Amino acid sequence: MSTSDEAEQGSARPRATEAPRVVAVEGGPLLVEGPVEVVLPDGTTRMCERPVIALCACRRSLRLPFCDTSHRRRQRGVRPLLSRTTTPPHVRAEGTERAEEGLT
Amino acid sequence: MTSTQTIGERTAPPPQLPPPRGELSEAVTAFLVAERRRLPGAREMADADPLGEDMQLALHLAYELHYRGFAGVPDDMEWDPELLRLRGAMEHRFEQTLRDRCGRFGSVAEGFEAILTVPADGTGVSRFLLRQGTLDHLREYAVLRSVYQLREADPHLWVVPRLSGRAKAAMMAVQYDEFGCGRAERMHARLYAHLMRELGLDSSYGGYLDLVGPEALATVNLMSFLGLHRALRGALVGHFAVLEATSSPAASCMVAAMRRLGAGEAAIHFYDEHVEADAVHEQLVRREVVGGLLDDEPGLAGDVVFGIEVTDFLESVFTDTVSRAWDAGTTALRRPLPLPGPK
Repeated sequence: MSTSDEAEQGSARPRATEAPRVVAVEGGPLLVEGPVEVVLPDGTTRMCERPVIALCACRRSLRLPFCDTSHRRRQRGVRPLLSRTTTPPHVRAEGTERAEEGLT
Repeated sequence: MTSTQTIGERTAPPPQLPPPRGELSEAVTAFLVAERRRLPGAREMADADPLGEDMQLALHLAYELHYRGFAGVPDDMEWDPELLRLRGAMEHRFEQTLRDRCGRFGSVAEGFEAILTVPADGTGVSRFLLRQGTLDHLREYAVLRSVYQLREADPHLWVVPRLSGRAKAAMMAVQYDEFGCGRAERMHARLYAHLMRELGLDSSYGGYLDLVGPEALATVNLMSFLGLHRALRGALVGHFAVLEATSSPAASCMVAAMRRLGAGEAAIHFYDEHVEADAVHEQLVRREVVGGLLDDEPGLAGDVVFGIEVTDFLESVFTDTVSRAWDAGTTALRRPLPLPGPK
């Protein structure tokens, strides 16, 4: 498989000398090669050691900056499962919009 | 190389053989402990229900020899030809029954569309737990899922040598995560053991097998069936994609349910971990594992579709059975759990 093929598919992990690859998924998250440390607007950091990390690109995640597949629910018109009261405190503000469709 | 294997608990001894549930599982059990030399033939098992209690346990017993085995059963029983012959006959009946239930989806895209449109977990069990479940419901669910979760990802590893290129690399990226990124204490199966103990349950591998009915056993037997047959590698990959695609939203729901019920942090952590992990895994499996396999072997598309459908079917049967029991105010286990002991 050629390098350009791999770039198109977005799968191959780079050699150490290559830049980390970020793959944008249509309608979904950004797939980032890990591990990464994400600095949030409030200055706090989130460390993620997975080989691949999905960063939310739709801003609907209840776990920003990470994807929680909320893009899918909204996209498909399926009601989200969580309400404001069950959302962890650190993501409540972002969850507010969706909470109004919540179940409890 | 530095070992991380000593962190945490040691490998437990193999589980005890559970009591049989009918003629087939009785025959297999007796054969395993060398009390009997002959196993039933295909004709003798013609009346057994392929999705029923007896055959699902018999299948589970046959498959378990490829994982940890049973106390008192010699390790080399794994390759006993007589047992493999019976397993093959049972698998044939199991597969025929499953194929009869499938055929709705015309393409891989259509299959994924269907499972992504329906809320994960068929809305059944995790929503019940979120809305009206009690800690006892949560314990029952933990027991039912423990047959798989205490071996999480093991059955899917069988497929790795049968894949190549993108599909193989992406499969291993996902599995690396499942097995704790090199740290024993982060292995998902280990996290599940913590969850069980936090809920006051016994976390030993196979410890609750006798309480688990055929619907839950069938979901795990499916994994072993697809994983152990190279001919079904396409179906294994389709099956795995469904697990990963439906897991993340269901895990969100479980986190919320567990917080509502006041379950401990170790219990919550297992599902919490799966929300983000499986949001990634879904992308990798659909794009790279399924996509990579079908680029290599386009002729396997029908098998991928079968894997998607059959997983959806068996999960629905499982969910319906649990929901019906709980709606009726009864246990979803074969017998109620003993009262929880101290943590």
